[in-house]
Amino acid sequence: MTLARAITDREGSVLLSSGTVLDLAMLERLIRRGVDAISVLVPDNRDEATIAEELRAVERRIETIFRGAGSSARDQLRDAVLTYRIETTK
Amino acid sequence: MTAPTLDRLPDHAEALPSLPEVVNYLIRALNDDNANLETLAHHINSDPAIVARLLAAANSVTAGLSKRVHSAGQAFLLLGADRIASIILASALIYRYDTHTSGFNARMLWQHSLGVATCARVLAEQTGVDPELAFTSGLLHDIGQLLMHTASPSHFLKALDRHLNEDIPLFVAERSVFGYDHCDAGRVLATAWKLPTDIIDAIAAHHEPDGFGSEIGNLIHVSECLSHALDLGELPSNRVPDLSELACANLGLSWPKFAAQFAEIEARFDDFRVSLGI
Repeated sequence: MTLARAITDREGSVLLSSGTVLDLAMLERLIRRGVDAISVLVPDNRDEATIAEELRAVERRIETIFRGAGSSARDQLRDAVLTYRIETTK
Repeated sequence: MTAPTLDRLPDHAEALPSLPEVVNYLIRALNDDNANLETLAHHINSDPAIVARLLAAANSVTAGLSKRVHSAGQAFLLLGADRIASIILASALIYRYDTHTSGFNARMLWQHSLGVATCARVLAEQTGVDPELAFTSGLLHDIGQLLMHTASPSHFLKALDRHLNEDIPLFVAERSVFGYDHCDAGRVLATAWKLPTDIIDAIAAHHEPDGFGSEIGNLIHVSECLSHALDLGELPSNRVPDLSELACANLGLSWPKFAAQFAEIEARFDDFRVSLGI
């Protein structure tokens, strides 16, 4: 299991840098330090057509849950969630 | 038969089970510097069901690792006081108010409430609001629905039906059936339960915060919208409510900047959901 993002403490000091390969002892130490979520790299075996279809599904879902008119604050939230979903789907 | 009026709702509040003792303790501890882990441990150990859920949550965190967690004390050391308090609060509420009738599933309400509570805690950490108050208010923000369902199941199911079939917000459908909504009913229930004023304000303000002038009300309103936007929980016919410009401005919120927290919110929500078995 490889870290996708560095783990930092509350002061911002890096505990483990991205790219570190984790073993069980390291995971146990992180849990004891109160770390409750980490990002790990997952092998991506998708082809381009699959990714394109997933991106279309993401856009359809955002359009559905943001249906109807709303404030400009709601529009900004929609744009932020759409950008996030696209980045994490690619 | 007409729906019960708002001024009759306190009578119906007595039909709901009272708040678990440990929940009352945790809520009082929000404003009490003398509250400590030993007292919390005492409250937990007096309720075997909560100890069992706490150990299940701690062991779900350590799944696959070398040690098993066998006591509340070990769980405290492993998970930390804040996380323990959140798990206890959520599990005590979820299992005390686990109504499941045709058309109304309280488990779904609690899943949504956990989503709002998770968003609220992360938003609070970024905006200088007390994270524990934010999490607790998020968990309790929809308790008005429990009271309305208890007071008149048929009217509440009618409101739910309108919400789903006419694609209108639930609080609008409730007003058309009852003449008031779950924000009003929640305020009544929270007052009957003698909850702190901050939490009562958060419950009352969470759909239309402008005019309340409540920081925690603004925060829970934004958390409500964000939880829908991130699709937390399994809400049928999910739709993001309208978002108050004023609430966002008062919290100093910039969505492009705050978007860096979305992954953290999703990870914490999934972790809680698995820990609590919902």
